[in-house]
Amino acid sequence: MGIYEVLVRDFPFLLKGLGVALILLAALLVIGFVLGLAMCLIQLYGPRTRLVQWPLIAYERVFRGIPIIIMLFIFYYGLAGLLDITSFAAAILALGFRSAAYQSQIFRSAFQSVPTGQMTAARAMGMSKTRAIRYILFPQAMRYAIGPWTNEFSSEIKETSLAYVIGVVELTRQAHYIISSTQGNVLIVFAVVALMYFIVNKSGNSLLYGLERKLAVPGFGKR
Amino acid sequence: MTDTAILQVENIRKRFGDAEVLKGISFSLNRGETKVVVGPSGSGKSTLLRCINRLTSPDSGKVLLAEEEVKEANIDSIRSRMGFVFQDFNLFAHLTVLDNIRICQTKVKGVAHDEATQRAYHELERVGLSDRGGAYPAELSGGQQQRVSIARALAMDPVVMLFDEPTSALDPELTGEVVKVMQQLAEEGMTMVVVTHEMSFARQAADEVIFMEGGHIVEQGAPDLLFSRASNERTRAFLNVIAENG
Amino acid sequence: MLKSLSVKLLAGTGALIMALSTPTSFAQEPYTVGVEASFPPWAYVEAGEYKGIAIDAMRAIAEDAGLEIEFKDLPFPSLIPALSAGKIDILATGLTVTEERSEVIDFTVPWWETNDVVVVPKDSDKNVFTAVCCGARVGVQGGSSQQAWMEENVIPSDIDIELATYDSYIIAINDMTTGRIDSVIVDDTSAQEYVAAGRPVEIAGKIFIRAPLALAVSKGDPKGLLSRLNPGIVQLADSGEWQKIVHEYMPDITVPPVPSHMPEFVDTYQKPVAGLPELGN
Repeated sequence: MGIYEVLVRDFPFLLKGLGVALILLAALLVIGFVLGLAMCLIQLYGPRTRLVQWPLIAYERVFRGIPIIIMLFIFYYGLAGLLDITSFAAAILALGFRSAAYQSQIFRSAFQSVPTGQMTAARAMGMSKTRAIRYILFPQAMRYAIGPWTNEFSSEIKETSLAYVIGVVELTRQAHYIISSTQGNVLIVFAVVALMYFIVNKSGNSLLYGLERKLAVPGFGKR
Repeated sequence: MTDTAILQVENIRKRFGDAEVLKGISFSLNRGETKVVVGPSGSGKSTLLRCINRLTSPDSGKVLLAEEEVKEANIDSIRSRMGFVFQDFNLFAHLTVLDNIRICQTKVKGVAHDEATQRAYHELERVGLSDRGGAYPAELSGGQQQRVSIARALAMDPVVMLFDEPTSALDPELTGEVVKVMQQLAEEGMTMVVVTHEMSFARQAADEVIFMEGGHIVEQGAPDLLFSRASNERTRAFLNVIAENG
Repeated sequence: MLKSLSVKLLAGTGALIMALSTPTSFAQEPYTVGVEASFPPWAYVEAGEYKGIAIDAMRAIAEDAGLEIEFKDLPFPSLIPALSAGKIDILATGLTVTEERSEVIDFTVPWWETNDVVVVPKDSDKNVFTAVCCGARVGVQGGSSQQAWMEENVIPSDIDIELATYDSYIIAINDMTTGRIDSVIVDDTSAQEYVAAGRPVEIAGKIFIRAPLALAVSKGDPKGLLSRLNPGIVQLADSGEWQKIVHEYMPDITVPPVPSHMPEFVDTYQKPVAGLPELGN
């Protein structure tokens, strides 16, 4: 059986691997978004005490500073005594928690890009701080954040391919299966896989650019 | 201080580092009154205005709105009854003119969407911009933006309006339209404290002019008196400079 | 208000973590069998199905012993840590018995025996000596017994080589055929597979003899699996089914006797061997 026939036969498995990668990607981005936004809000608008701020700084340093492979091992093997989690869950948490560190920084600089007068005006009209953040700052900050967030999306797609080291059978691992069962064909198999990653990346970026256009406000951010 | 005083400012002091910007300011405002605060830059006018609605917290002294003391605890409720117009407008950049005027009505006062829309159009008409409801702030001229910000404040049904140099950021040819709106408000009986360099407005619309310098109220009185026969030498000097430049 | 919003966000994440963590530690069955599924002919995936000698033999042994099993694919360097961390119960791949490994995991009786070989590109002028000296770049699988052997015996000596480690031998062989490395050290079983599959490689010679291959369980055998796996392995060989499985994947190979050579440094090979009291050193 030639490699092309094998590729055609095994394409559903590559798609299945892609599906796993996409679920992993979606889950890690959601965790990163929720956690990153919460951390950013506490850092910018929460209590200024060290007790609150210091752990957040430490969190960012740790998750941005440690290679993701090591994080994956720590979450899968290291937490084995505390929490018996599957490879997939460990990958979601390790990648998601790290993405939170990056996303919190994206959101922080986005919120800081909103002119201070916006908050002042909202507060002067009697809005509480929470509502001012929710209705005035958040919608503006998100518009600033979409660009950098698109980069984060693209880099996280690539990171999902590392989850195989703790046994998540995603797209790259499925490709390894074809390579090893056919004793070679590294180039052609990875070319197909690269194309699949590329398509996901491109469509994701197009969606995000579309969102950016949809949310565009005349003159916004040009000052 | 009379029984009808709607806003009372009592002995406000504020210090930034070494500089005491407000050295015990007191005045009061009756319903329907317009007071104009004038004085050289750095005399503490804007800080005074911000101390009234606690955008800046005073170090000491009291502010009472309709006999209710302004405190940190009731500040949101107080502010919803005190319109504030900024020098640089501060319209919400991501919202249309209509939404700028609606959002605080619905999110602060809990007004229904339709009612807020109706009110927004009413206030836009008042400032002469009823056709610009769908525009975004960046699509408007400075004068138009400031008129929208006045409409935004008015839609909250304020007891008193505070204006912080509302024309200072505008090109000279655009100040007229804003001053006109403010004059009209004064005539309609809005209670207002206006910090401004627009002497024509002070002369025509003010019930009383307060002249500040160095953190003190140096002189206060009816505009006619103050402009024609200012008793204080510094007041006269300031008014002369303004008259030459204006 | 802000605090409550943040607390809600954090609590939501916490709930997600709880949802993701499954209480598998309480489940006794099925046993998880860790494999490196890109290691033919021992274990690999073809058309979505686990295949290979270790896979088929493991299935047969499990069926005879009444064990319920499920396979879990992990990269080779991850398998022993996974066993230590209790993520898998049994390790079934082409796993060489070494002294170092026997200190952290427990081996079953050996079911195979290999000799390591030096693989070079076809028509290469290199022999078994020149392929691993004199500035050669030599490929091995990361965490493999071949890597350990090279690091112990060759690297500290005066022989000038550079070791390149790979996740998988397939990639190593591929790199060799494109000239990135000069030779690959691999067990003879795999090497014969590469030649049989028509890869442009040849075996330059043997460098290491009588390396036993076995299954492994966690150190101390907490689940008492050795006494079920050991007889299973011997029974499989005695019934002739083992030979059938091996020949299905490697038709021309001579099947070594089971159990093969049992090195003295492995403590589970001390008399009496679990489940096989008549055996042992």
